[in-house]
Amino acid sequence: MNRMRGLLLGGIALLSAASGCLSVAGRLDEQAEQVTHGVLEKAYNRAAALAEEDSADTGFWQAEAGTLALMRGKPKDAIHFLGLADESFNDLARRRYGASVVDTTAALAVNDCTMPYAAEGLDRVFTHIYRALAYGVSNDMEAMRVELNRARQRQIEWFGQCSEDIVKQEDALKQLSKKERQAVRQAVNQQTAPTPLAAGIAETVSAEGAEAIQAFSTLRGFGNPYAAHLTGVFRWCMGDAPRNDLAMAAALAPTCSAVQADALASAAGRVPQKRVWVYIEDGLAPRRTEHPFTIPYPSLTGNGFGTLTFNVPKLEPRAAAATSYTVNHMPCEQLTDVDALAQDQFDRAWPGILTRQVTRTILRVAMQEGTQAAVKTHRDGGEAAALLISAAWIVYNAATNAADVRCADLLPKKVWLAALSRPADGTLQVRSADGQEIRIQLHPQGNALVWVRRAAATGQITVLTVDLERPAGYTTI
Amino acid sequence: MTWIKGYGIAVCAGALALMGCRTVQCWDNRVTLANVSDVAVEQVSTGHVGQSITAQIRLRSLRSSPVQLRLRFSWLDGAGQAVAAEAPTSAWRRVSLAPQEVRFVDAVAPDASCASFMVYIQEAD
Amino acid sequence: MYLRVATVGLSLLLCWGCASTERVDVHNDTETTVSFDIHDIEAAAAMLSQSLLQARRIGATSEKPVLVAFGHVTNDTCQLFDTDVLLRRLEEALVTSDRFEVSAVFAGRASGRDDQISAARSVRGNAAFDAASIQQQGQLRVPDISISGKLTQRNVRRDNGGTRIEYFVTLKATRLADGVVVWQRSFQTVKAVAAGMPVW
Repeated sequence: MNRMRGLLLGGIALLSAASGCLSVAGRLDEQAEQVTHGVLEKAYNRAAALAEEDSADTGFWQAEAGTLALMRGKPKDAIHFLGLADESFNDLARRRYGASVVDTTAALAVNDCTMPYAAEGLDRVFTHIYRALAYGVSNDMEAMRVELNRARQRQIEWFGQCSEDIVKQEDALKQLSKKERQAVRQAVNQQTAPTPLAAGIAETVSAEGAEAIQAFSTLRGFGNPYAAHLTGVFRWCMGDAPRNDLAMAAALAPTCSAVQADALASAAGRVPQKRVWVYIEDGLAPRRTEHPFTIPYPSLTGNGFGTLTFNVPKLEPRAAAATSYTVNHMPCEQLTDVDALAQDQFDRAWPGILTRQVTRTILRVAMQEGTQAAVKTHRDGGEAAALLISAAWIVYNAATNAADVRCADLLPKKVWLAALSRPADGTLQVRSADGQEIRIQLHPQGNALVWVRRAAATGQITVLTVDLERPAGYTTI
Repeated sequence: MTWIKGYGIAVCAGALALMGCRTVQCWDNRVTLANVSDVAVEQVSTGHVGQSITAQIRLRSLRSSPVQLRLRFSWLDGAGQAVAAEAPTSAWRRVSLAPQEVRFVDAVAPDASCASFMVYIQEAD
Repeated sequence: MYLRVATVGLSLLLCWGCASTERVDVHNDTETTVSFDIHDIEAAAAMLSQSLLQARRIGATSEKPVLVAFGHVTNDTCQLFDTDVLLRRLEEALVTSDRFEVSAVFAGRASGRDDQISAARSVRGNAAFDAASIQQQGQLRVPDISISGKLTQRNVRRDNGGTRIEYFVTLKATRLADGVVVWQRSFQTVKAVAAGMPVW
């Protein structure tokens, strides 16, 4: 009786966990539908309500609500929710630091989607970009600076993490000595653009190491030129002490002439006057969807070989809203392919996702087979126990079988850039290849930044303007 | 026996004098060394900036490892009353001494009414 | 009996919740945080105010106090920190001193200016006010020096994967008559966090 009671209680608990996994997927499907059709208010209200609940998904929904708020043109709400999301992710990092081996091992027994959402890389950089834009629109330039610094810090941390992964995984580096490997790691961690890296190569590493640095220096997979350019333009306009943000953007977006021109002008000491930068975030980044994955496995009770099927997330790209844009008849250039960044980030996470899901599946199958074998030998109440076990198995199977489809699915697919002199009448005309047109009226006389968000061809278009005017009486050191 | 007792007292007094300001309190009663061992306050001097007094203390570490201290100056007027007790001029300050290092720490009084000062020094955690 | 047990249990639960908040004894507090916290602010204010009060090139005397305007101090860190908190502590030190005065007319931030100065003068000519109590013309003073600066953060990766967070506060005083810097001082503090820990 006690055993049956225990199984029943366990089954109820797992059913709750299972329903959590399944409901997130359903909500994300609904949200994707609403965003695509421009029903942002509904999507925001749902996300905001979920962000107030205390669950493993709280941080995730806080980030979603914040992003949706900005897409609706509500900077105050965006600042609030994105701030909460950042705190949630920081708290998670602190808790993980304190986690023991037992905690980490126990986490293998439950599904990824029942664990708190751990944003990293691209997600976190964009959280701060969006918060920076929201502060900028609210004319709080000090806070905008802080958020751009945070975005840069997250980018640097991501560089470091990726470079370590590369160093660990690349076979070619095994040819190098330990000292050369360290030099490669250091070189990729540096914040400088490829050209300065190349200058420093000859002194530190061998020919093979130099080749490795050149290969890694493209930073295509995990470098975000949008973040770097936005930060660089802000600092340039505000008269802040120059760092290498525009140089970094130039290295990461070598084909974007606007970025190259800005980097050169900044390096030459020119001060921007009456310039306007228009960033157009088009489409939606790929979302995760659930797919079955089958592997063979040997039965532990000697029933030969069978197959195990479980669900894993895969990235599903989505359509762009438009294939190109112009601003005042000037063609916009592609600044960042967020799809490619999202794919790269997912590819890095994939081995971990698969390993955990395989491990879980094997554990639960072993548990099922072991329990069934034990019940078969039990004389009293064997049939009832077997029924309960089957029910628990179905529930547990659902709980551990669901794929974690949470990801930063509200990011843009591509970011376009146009940099031009401020028109005399302060009017900007943004036109898309599919015939959509937006007129934007700029107010004050100085430098400005315009953010345009168009998630889908049929969706809402949001325009926000940030005045990048250096404050009067500003002193630099 | 009396001379033995007297000799013993003299030896102890000499030993204590040789130890200097090691363990308890410095010879200058304006300085309090709270539970700081092997740090000596060798000199306490005053000066002026305009009509405000300044204070300077000379610290010497007798340790073979670095030591971090917290100290604060308290300023008193002619009547012995504290002046600007919560102002930044009386806030905690951190001073690090390298092994065997001699370091000068100075401070200026908050205003011209200050006639004297006190310094409290403790080891930082 | 069950009611008694339940009451005691509930009281214990409530007390357990209360224990999560406590007052911190700032004077004896030794906790370190990643941000530029109250201890850093106090230490910076102490060091910078001491240096400013002792700066001979400023030429401040009790007979002829120097009028100071606090300009802009930029926060170039990853911390959402209001630099006013630091500046107001410095102001306190200067206002207490008999050799310095602080302007409430000229300031880099609105919080450093007092709107009542212009409000009190806006009633000139208004018969409802006692003309003798209205501030006379030509009384406001232009500052002698202006103080401005910057708070910067550097995050340096350590060999063990952690991060060193280096904060630098730099202030300078400029003589407004000729644009010459008459005082400059920096304050630094360094924190260290383990790998994976956030830096704010």
